[in-house]
Amino acid sequence: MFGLFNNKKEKKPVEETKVQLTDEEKSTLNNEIQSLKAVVKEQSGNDKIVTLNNLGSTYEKLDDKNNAIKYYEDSLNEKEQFGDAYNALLKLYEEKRKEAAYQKNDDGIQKYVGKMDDLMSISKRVLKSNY
Amino acid sequence: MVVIKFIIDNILTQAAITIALIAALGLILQRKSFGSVLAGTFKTLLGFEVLSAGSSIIVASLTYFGKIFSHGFHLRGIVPSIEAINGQAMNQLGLGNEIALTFLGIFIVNIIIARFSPWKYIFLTGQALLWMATMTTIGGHAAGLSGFPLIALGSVIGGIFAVAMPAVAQPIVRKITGNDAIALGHFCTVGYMVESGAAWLFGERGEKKHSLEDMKLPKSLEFMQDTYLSVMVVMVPLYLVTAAFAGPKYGAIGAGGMNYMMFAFLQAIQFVVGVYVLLAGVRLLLGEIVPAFRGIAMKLVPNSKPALDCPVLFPYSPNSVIIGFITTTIGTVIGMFFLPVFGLAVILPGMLTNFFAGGTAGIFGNAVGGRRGAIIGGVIHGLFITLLPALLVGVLTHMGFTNASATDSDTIVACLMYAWIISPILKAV
Repeated sequence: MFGLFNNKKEKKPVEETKVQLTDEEKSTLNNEIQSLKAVVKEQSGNDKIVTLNNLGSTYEKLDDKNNAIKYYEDSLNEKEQFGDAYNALLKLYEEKRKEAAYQKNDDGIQKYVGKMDDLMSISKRVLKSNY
Repeated sequence: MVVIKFIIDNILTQAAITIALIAALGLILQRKSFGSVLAGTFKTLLGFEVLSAGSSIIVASLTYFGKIFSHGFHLRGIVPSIEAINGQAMNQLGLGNEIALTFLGIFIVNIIIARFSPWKYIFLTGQALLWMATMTTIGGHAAGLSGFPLIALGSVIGGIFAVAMPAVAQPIVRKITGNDAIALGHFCTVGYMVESGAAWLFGERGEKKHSLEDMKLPKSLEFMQDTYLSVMVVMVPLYLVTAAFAGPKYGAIGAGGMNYMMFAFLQAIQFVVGVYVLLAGVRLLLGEIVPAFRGIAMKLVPNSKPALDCPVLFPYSPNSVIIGFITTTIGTVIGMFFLPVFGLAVILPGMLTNFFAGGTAGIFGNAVGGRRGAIIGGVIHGLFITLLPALLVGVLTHMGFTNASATDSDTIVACLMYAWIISPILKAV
């Protein structure tokens, strides 16, 4: 009834089908990362934020979640605002939270749920400071 | 025997102890060190006492306000504040123990439903769960239940709400966020669905649909930057105007020779102080329990969908939040004047609810019916969230609550369900 008791059949959710990158594509993305890293050191203000977001999204394409999170967080640290970094982080934290939950890693769960809480505090701050 | 009897009669009847023990249980299940368990347990105990202290401050201020309002306008003026209801239920009615255990029960029922059903929502907004536990306990108490049946029924109803509300909102949340990763865990969802329905009826559709996000809004809501300042901005004029109407004779009740307007001003500030203390208590109270139990929930249901507090949606539609807040406030002001015509109490607009619930409702309205949908839907939402606490006043007054009514729409619906459906059934059986 309503699938309430079909737990036995329940399987781990199908991971989102990620596009498999060829070695060539991977090396192009890695090159891109190197050049972005070189540029970002010289930058400040909005330009820096754009580059940090690009670094985040490039790492995301490479499925390197930890580095993606690091650069998106750097971007939000530069300036708390709504946009790509915020949205991407919410999604990445939730993915990391899920991974930690499957591994029964309590510290990991707390870390990423805590980070989601922080995002919500940022959300309140940004909204109030915008108006 | 004497020792056990002493423990049961004197220690376990204390809500502060019960809730501290629940925190200890959560921390022990997480295999925390002895020191962490001890610290967490005592922090929770302290949080409960701070919450009670805040509640007493609010109740004292609201009692004064109730008096001047009835003398000034010859009507009942009710300040909707779920915090005040929670505090009064715990202190005056002695329902603290039941609320604490129902809180735990809701969490357990939520995990069970998420584990064994296709609805994988785990409700993570601890504060909202506490309010839900409060309202189901009040509802059950009003229906004549007590002890285990009261706690069990409250847990089941609260647990169902904790899964059903995120599930009901999810189709629209998906539309707002563009993905299915997270859900909304805020017990104002019935209100959001009312706004969505109104937005669908009266809003724009198809090519005519314009999003509020394409508009430029003026920056003029600086007073909202600080939560307590925004409460003060409303409460001070409210108390002063009411005291002016009540006149020096009634406005100075309890003032001890102070000028009545000055006394009213200080009472308004006292209200804000009460909210401040109470919310600090809630943070302390839930600071240990919520992380412990959500860790447990996530491990038991790894593929769960976390239902998060309403600010999670703000970034997707910031203009809608502001328009939602303004239109909901307009609706609540209309409701304040309009409802007494039907013999209902005067429900004064609550700024915090209007901002968070109104703002989130605005996002729903905009997603469903665009600009026009959000504006018309917002006013209807404001009317709706004024009507619900007005309907609840009868139930609460019966039980001896002072001049307050609840705010979050889902918790009110749960309580009204007890009053209108469960209580008549129990009486008939």
